[in-house]
Amino acid sequence: MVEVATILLMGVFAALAIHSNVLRLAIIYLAVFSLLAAFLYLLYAAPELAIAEAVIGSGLVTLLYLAALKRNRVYTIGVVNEQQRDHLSDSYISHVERSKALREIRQFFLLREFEVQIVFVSSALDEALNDPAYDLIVAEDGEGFAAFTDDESYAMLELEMMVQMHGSGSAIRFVRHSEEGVV
Amino acid sequence: MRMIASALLVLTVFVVVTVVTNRNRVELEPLMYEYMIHNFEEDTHARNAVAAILLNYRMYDTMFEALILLTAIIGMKQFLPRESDIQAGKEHSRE
Amino acid sequence: MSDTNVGSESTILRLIVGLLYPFMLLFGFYVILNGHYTPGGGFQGGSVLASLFVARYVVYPVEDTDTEVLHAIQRVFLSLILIAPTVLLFTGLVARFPHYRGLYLTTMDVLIGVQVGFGLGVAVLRFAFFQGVGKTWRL
Repeated sequence: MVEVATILLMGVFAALAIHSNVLRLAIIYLAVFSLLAAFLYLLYAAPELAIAEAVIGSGLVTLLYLAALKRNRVYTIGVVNEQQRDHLSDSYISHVERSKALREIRQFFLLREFEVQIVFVSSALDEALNDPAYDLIVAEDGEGFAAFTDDESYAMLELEMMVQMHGSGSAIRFVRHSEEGVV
Repeated sequence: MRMIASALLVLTVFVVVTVVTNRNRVELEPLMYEYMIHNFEEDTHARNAVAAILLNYRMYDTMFEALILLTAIIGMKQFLPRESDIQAGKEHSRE
Repeated sequence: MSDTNVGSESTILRLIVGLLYPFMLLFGFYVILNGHYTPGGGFQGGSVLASLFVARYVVYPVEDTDTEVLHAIQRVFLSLILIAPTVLLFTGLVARFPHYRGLYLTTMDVLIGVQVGFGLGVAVLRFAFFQGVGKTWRL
């Protein structure tokens, strides 16, 4: 009975760790998962494994993850397409992933050891611009890709400069926007 | 479509491996663990069977496990340099 | 994280870790030395000892431990782990003198415990204080 409850609780914490948007919380869920695993080993009469799992799984590995998180932050890019947003297809996703603009952005963040995470947004452009979950909004229209920037973000200015240095062959346009709307 | 295909592939591999291993299962005749369970106390003077196995019957395992830990840490030192190591490497390449 | 200013950590954490620190040390050595009587052994006790480095890093994240020394000690203990069974166990010395079997088990547990503890400690400290080339890029 206790075993079944522990296994179910482990499943719950594993799902929480996968589905939580905050990486710091996911690490804590993983630590709790390891602690439950240690308890399960204890119930199955393997105390040696329980000691090792409790110390390594929820002690050392949690610290390693936290240290890694401190160094390597995740940058979320939202991709908006006003026409395609109701029927998102595989071919459209691969078209965006392989486009020159996204490759340039990826290259920029790769140089700075940032992890880039691309999210396809199903809401309208105005809502996406005001959503704090996305660090950068890229919209596709007839002319190509446009990145929406505001002047407060130092990173965006640097990205803009890098793209300009690449010459006129760049695939990204930059659109400035503020709280009131697109300028 | 791609997801369904990959899920079918994984399922097929799982079923094939399970069927093949179940058909070719062989019972290992001289059961080592019975000998170990009955004799470990006289053989090794340990009251904990796990310690007896790790430190006597399967000593090679333990030795090379320790070697694996050292190898992992040497690799880690190579790939995670400190600031002083980077400086030293630059000076070394300058000379 | 060399730019972390010391003292900004919470008082609760500092007090609790300071209170638990000797007990963690005691528990680690207990697990190592009683490896052949109670559950535990070299690897488990060694990882408990490594968690001491972690506790110290959590409270006082300053790089003043020389990991090179720890790594050198770990290499010495690894060579002892490779030599001791070759000389004592595989030649049959332990089987010939049954009186010292317990001593042999304890010795091996201590060797493995120190090796694993210092090894994991070096790994964790190196990772936590990693200052790579990425530090020069600011965003």
